Amino acid sequence: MKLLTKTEEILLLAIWKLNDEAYGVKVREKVMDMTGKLFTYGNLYCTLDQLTGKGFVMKYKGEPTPERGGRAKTFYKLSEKGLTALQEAFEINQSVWDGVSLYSFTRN
Amino acid sequence: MFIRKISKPPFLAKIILRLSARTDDELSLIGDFEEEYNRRSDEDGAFYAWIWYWLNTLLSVPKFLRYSLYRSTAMLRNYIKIALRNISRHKGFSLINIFGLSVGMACCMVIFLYVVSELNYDKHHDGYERIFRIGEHRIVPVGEFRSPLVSLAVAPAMQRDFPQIEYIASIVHLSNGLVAKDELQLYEDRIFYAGQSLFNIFKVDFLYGDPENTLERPLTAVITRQMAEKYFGEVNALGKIIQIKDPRFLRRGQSEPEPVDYEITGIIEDLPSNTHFKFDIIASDAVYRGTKYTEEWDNHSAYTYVKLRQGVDPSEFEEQIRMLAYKYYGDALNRFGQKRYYFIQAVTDIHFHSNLQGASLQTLQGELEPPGNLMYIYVYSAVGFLILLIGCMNFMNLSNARSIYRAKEVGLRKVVGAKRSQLIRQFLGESLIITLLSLAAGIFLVQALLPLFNQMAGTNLQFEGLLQPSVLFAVAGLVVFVGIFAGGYPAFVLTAFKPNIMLKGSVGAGNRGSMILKILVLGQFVISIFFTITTVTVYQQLNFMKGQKLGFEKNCKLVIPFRGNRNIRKNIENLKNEFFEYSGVTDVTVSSTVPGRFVMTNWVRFPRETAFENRTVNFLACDDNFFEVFRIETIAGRPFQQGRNDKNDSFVINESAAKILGFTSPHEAVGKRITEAFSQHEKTIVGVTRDFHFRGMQNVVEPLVMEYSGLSFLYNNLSLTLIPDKLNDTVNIVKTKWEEIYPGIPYEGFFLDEDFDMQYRTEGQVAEILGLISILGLIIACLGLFGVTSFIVRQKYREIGIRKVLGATVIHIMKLISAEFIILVIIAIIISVPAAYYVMNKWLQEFAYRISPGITTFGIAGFVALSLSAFTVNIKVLRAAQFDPVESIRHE
Repeated sequence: MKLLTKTEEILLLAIWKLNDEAYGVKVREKVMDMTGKLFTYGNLYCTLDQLTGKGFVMKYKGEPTPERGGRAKTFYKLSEKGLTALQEAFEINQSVWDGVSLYSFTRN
Repeated sequence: MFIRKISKPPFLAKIILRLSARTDDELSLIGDFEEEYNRRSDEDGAFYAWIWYWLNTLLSVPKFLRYSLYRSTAMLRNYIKIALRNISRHKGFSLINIFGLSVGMACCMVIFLYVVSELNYDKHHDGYERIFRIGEHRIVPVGEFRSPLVSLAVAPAMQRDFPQIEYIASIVHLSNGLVAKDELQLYEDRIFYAGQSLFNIFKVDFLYGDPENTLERPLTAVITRQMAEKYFGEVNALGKIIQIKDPRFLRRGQSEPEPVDYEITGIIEDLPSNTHFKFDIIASDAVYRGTKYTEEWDNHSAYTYVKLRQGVDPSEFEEQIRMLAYKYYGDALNRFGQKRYYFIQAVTDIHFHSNLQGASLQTLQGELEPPGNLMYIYVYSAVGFLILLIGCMNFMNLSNARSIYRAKEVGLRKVVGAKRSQLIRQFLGESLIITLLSLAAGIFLVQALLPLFNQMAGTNLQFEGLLQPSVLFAVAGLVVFVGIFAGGYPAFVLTAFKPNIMLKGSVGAGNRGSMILKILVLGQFVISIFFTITTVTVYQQLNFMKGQKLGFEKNCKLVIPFRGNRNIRKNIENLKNEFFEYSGVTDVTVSSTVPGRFVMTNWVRFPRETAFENRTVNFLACDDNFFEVFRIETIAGRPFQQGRNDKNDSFVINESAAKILGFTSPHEAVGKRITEAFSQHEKTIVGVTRDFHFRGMQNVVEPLVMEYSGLSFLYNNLSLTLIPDKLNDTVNIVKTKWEEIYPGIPYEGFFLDEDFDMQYRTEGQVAEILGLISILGLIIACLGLFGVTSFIVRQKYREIGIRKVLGATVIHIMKLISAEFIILVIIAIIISVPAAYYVMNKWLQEFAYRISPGITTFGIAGFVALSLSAFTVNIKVLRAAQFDPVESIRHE
């Protein structure tokens, strides 16, 4: 299987962490919390669309609320495939970073 | 809540967001924006929220755009995949489609090439819109004519008087020029004298030599690649010597022109076929530049071209040069009672719009090459379009027939959520792919067809011509047109149906679908039957003209032109005797021309009640044996006879001449005296011949006056009657003998019958091209019919089975299915017969002697179409009718 891109990996993690609360605004905030970087909505939705297309996440519609101008939230949830992909990513990350500490890169 | 209500999110930004974000969740996205906007508006105020909204919109747009681009190419790849799958699943139909379309497109492309080349005649010269030819309108006492041949004095005078002229060039044709290089000695018909300025006006590509300085020195020449290869065996002939004998430059007392050595100072690429001025050799005009020739106003030997300076108004220029002759030559013109005016012709108009006369009796024709016919451009364009139409109709028809099956596909796609626009795109995409495949096949076909077409139409079209921008553009347009036209039906009609109806499978089999199917089959057959009728008509007319009684005998006549060679002319009686003594030669005659070749025109004057009148007639000089050799019948008086005073004092005329000279019967003409206008010789009419066709059957027999002239310079052809059984032997003997007696004069003998039929070459070309087109059209139409029948058969599979069970025979079933197609073909015949009749009648009007298309014409065409279509339909039906009914009824 192809490796996840970093963006995909971060988004999948954010969705997983948000559990039942994973929709656009929340995902974006979570990513901000996790990485300190703000995704544009363009980046966010396009990547989510690709993840859906690849079958890593599933989506379902929530109830429309007035503060959203009457528009429903689209919630995202990891699929079985998405969970496996994260598992794999974790393992890869571990083995890639194995034997490396934060101080390895400092030039003294 | 209240505050939120009034601070609405920026409308424009929302629109931008919606338009750019083409994901499935665009509404949730807007919702997200709105949610965050409202929160910020509550916390930080409406203005800050407004800024936030805009900023985030603009930041998101680039990514969305890139993403939608990525997605659409993914769609495209998907379409292509599905299209290719569809093509390979239905191999037979795809093959019929691609074959029909590619043949149609190949024909179209060849015709594009032809039309573009014809319409670009003489447009390759730089600044062609400033290039003009000077013409001369002469009014002499006996008549008037417009000729492109002007005096040699015109060019120097114009250059002196008119600063508007940037370049001016006179070119003089060298007729009957002999070119010699060592042993090789040949007549070349396309030698001209000209100066350096020629290349400033006409664009040529120099391969060797200095383009700026080729014809300045006397006795230099520029030749084409072809000539260099012919005489020197290599292209680079720079500095080599070629000999030219010009019969005009004859010293006093000489009978044979001296060979003059010309040094080759330039070799140019062969000229394109679409220029009216085609030459092989240009010899420097320095031989006569500055001599008395260039000051004589009473010769008419030069084609003169000018290139005007930028910004000069041509019509103003024409007005200024009109009276030029009066400035230099006015006295003489008045004295001779002549008028002479100059006019100009745009160089690009010459091919289609100019058909000027020669300047005198001796010049063969005025134009450098026979003018083109604009009508054939229209005809060929229409033909190309129509054959493409047949191919398109095939496509539409098969898509339509297949729609019965594809309706289910479309229905299913719709059920699982395909939008109509997506389906339209898919169908159009599929048809574009088929079109592109056909284009690729068509290009290969063009490569194969082009030599054939060139041979048929006598053109020189190059395959590389397809790369011209105008042709490329047209081909691109063709692909889009065909793709949309042919794929339009399934794309727009099929996708409009409701899925539940489609899934039931009743679409396409319904009335509307089969109606369209029938109309298309009808259309195809109307067009192809139309072509067949026209082809048959053209062939019938051609055969009619070739088989018509000409009034003279053309078989077994060997004609040897001697091009006015003075050595031969001086001893004409000798010449005749030389060949008369062979056993294979039964008769011999000399004449100015032979039937089928150019005949001079002249005027005769004859007395009427009160005054003299002039009539234009054709004029021919011949000896006393002419009527015997060609078996021309005399209906009044007698032919020329030896031993009488005929050589100085008689004319023989034909029936038409007797008529226009005002005699009520041929007998009345005998004994009357008429005057030939140029030499002012008055002679007696001694005989009248029956009209014979000295020109092709396109023209009526014109008045002809024949004289037994004592002037040897009029004679140009020796004609021999050969004994039929040893034709070839005799020709060989004559040829050997000729080369023995006249070593300096190339032997150019030809058979009169073959030469005469060359006049029908154009009609022959049209017949061949139309024949090819109608065969192709019929093949495509029948292939389409085959495809449609097999769909119908598949649809009626069970019906056939049940009928067979109930006792129907194979013949019954064949009748059942083929009947409706046969009726269609009959209707097509009924429609196309009047159309073809109308068009062909128009075409036939050009011929003086013509057939009228009748029952045989339409019978042949109808029979061909009917039997072909019946055959096609029944191959398929026959197979279906022989199936085991058990199988077909079980078939689902």
